[in-house]
Amino acid sequence: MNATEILALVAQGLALLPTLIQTGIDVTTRIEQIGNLAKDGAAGTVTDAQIVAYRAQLDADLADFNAELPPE
Amino acid sequence: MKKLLLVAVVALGLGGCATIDAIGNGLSLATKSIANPVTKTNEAQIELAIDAAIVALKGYKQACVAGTADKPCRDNIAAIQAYTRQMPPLIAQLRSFVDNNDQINAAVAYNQLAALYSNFKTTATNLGYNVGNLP
Repeated sequence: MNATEILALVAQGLALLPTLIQTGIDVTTRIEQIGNLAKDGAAGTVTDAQIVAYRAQLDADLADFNAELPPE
Repeated sequence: MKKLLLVAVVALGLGGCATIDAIGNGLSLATKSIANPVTKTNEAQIELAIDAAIVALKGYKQACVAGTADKPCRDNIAAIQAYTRQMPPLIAQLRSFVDNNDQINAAVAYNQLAALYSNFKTTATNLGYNVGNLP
């Protein structure tokens, strides 16, 4: 990935923020992580610790969303 | 072997050649193959992309529980969960294949997960819930 692609990534990430913030949802952390991963991936510096952290984060979020809704 | 074949058939049925639009050119969840293997970074990219959408949907779910979302939110969430509940076993498979550098099965699992993600995002959009321009 080159610098132009990384900048495009950042620009797109920033562009979608208003849509998400408008709905009261904060995905800033995830967008930052996507940007950081793009940079680290380009530099070849993605660590096992990062991978483990991303995996744990997704597992927790999926389990939370997939849980049954409480009764009305 | 039969299981692997079944996975491959399902993956093709879900649209094995699907390529998902990503955030700019930086995050390309393109169809994987032996010639285009799944790296740990690729795996992390698709996991983060899915996670970002899930975080957004968690917000919708919380609003639904609080009674501030739209009226059919319970039905909408159930419809989306039909896809998201299929993800954990696929993600576990993908991680195992990537960790063991089993590229044949990693590509199958990756493409299946990418297609599933595409379907679930389309469902969310069709139900009127915009998860933004996330991949």
